[in-house]
Amino acid sequence: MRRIILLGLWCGAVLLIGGLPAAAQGSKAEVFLGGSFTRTEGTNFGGWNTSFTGNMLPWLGVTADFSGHYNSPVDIHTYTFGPRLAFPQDTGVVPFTQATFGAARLKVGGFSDTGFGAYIGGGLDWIARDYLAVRLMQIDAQLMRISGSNFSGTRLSFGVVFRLGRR
Amino acid sequence: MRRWILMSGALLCLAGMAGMAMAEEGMWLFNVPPTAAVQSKYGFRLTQPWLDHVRLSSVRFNNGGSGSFVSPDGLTFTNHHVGATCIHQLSTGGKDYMKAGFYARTQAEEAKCPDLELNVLQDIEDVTAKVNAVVKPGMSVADQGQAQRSAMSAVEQECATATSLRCDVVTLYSGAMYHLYKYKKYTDVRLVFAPEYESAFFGGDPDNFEFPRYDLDAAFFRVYENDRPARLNHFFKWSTAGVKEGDLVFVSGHPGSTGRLNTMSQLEFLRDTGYPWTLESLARRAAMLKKFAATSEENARIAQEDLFSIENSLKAIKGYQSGLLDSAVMARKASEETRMRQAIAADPQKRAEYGDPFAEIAKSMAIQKQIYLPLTYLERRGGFRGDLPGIARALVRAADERAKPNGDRLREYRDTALPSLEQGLFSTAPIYKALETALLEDSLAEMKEKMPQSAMVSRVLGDKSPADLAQSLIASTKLDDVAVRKQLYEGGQQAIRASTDPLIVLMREIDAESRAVRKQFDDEVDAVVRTHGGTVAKIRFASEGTSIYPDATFTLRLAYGAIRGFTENGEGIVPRGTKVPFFTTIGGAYEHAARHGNQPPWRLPESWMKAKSKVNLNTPLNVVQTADIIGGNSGSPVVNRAGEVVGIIFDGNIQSLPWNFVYDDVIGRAIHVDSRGILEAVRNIYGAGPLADELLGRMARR
Repeated sequence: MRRIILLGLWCGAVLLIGGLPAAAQGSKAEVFLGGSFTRTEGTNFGGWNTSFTGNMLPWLGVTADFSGHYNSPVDIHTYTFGPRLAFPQDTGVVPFTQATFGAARLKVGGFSDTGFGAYIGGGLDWIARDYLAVRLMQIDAQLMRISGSNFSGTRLSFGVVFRLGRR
Repeated sequence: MRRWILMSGALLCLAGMAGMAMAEEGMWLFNVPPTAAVQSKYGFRLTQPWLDHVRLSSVRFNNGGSGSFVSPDGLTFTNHHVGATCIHQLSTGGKDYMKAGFYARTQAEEAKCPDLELNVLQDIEDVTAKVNAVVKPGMSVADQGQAQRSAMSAVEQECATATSLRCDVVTLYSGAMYHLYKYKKYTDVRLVFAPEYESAFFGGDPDNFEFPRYDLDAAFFRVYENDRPARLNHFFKWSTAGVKEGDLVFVSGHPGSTGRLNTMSQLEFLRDTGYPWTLESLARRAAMLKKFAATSEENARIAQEDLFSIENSLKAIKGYQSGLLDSAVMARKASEETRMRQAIAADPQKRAEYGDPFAEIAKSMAIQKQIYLPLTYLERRGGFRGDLPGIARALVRAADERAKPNGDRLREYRDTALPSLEQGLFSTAPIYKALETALLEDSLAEMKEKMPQSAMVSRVLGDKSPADLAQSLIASTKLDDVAVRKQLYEGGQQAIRASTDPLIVLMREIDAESRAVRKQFDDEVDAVVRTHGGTVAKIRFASEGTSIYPDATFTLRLAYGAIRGFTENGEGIVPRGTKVPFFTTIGGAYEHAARHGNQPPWRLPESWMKAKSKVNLNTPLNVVQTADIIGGNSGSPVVNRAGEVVGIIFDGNIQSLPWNFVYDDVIGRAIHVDSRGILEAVRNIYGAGPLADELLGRMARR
């Protein structure tokens, strides 16, 4: 049920952003590098998050999102891919939303299992320079299914975004 | 639709039954082993020779743990945290074996523990008829209790005289049965090997009662007779094959106490009075000891063992209390009790025979609640903590009690208990006055806060603050001198009455009031629980047959289970839903340390860091399994079908703590150190090749 609500909210955001006129052209691609925290099934994890986005249209791109979160003896790594929508502008704060799907790997004390992983959420980038933005906040719902168990949580990321190529 | 509902119901019942069949509950008596259950589930027959071999290879560490023999030359192993009392006591003259570890390269270097006693169970005899024979019609419950205690002392004395063994009458099923346990006793116990505290308790309090875990919680001792290593006919062969998932394993140890057969009023007493007080008091003591430890490196060292023990108890009792605060657990217990009460109410014959034992026990619990504070602070010395006040109490009491006939004495001063009492009293273990002062000050302050209206507390303190009184008492007492203690003990009542030692004077002063509350407890609580608890047990026997085992009594029990991982439910350190594998490895320990920056309590000692390239990182270190354990099982050997030792119990996961009241093997697990991990560490981390060879039976150590 929670997944259905999240997907519904994300689709609403897609329609909203897709219906807005482009204020500027944005970049062709973006690379995000940042720190990240998750709270997964009541346990806190710290780690990293990186993503690469290729913008096919000023407001629509495809993102490859990778993250690693750790609280020994548990490691969570995710490798997810999916669409990303953003207000295409070159100044100020740019809101975006994305939904990515792929694989999640849970390692417990030296033993690992791989399953399904997904993130649905969005964030705010502050454009500092043509080539650089600061990701003020990215918040995603985390959904995983590994070895028959469902895991849900929240991921919070922040860091820098390198904007490559003006559109 | 109706058919579908019926089918679903039937399936649910089957699933429930399967769940019941899965459960491996039970801390079984060695004279009533779970032969049929083990045979039916695992196809393994518990034969008498197998049971005898396991019993005679198992050891009770009298300071509260378990252990086992692992070589014909008296080599014994237990947990580091069970052996810690001795390791700590031997750490004098600038040596700190808790920190640095200990390894005796030759038998001559093996260090004698000042007051450790090990017991090996030789025989069990049912003496129920003898103990109950003294109960005469028309006796009050209090008189029954006194008569039974006298009878138990007489049975023990007769046995000790006839056999030269240690003989203890054990009350089972609250008083429905009395068994005489006969032990061979070893009092010359020497330390052979102990790893560093950092390795034994790796992960510290945050990882305690958790899994995955990476602790080398093991230590080796040797029992001596006539100054030579004892020659043993029964000992466990060390398994190098270890275990795999699903394997049947047995745990042969000494679970301390459980309350699974307690009535609702007993559980409610613990939930509402006993545990809340204990948790508050332990938290207070932990804070005090941390403050004390922070004042110097030496104070940190001397407080370490007490602090470990307090933090361990704090976490354990929180877990026990979680079981009692779980409405489902309490509803299950209430429903069991209602069923038994209804069965009595519906049958006039049973009504006449049993009366209402539940109501009688409830009344006794109300009395226990009323006297709880004076009982705890005066009689149980909650207001006078520390070794020195304990010694003073024992000397004062022993003088009076030894003057009485054996059957009239308090149980702890009966003739058969005196050798162990004397061993403790005359121990040469170091006593640290700085720690004694801190403990006494804090306990006096706690007693004053909890019993502000007590005339006795006012009399004890006089016009002094707890700090001033503690300081003056500990500074002036001479009881830290073993010769003074011996003189007072041998001098009997006259020496005690004439003594001006301030702690003796204090204990004399509070003795009458303390004894009065003890007598009220013995007559109005203990005797009632013994009499009516025994009746409740008989009611259980009538409805459940022999499928029930008695609550734990720190006597040898056999538990069995399977090696099995679990799916986390969110109470442990890993996220809910995580499939936790059944074992961890030595390599995992290095990884876990690195993830925490190798900082305490996740710092691996230098020996481990230096040996990393030599050690097989894939060697299993800690393993989880479903055998039924509780505190006191620490150090219990984990044994396979062949009667070989495959590990040593050192902990349970957080979900196993409610096992104090209800066993459930869905997530709850016992945790053991794997025999392969111990061997690998002994040989390749600590370079203790001769010890490893002795474990493998390759050669005797010199």
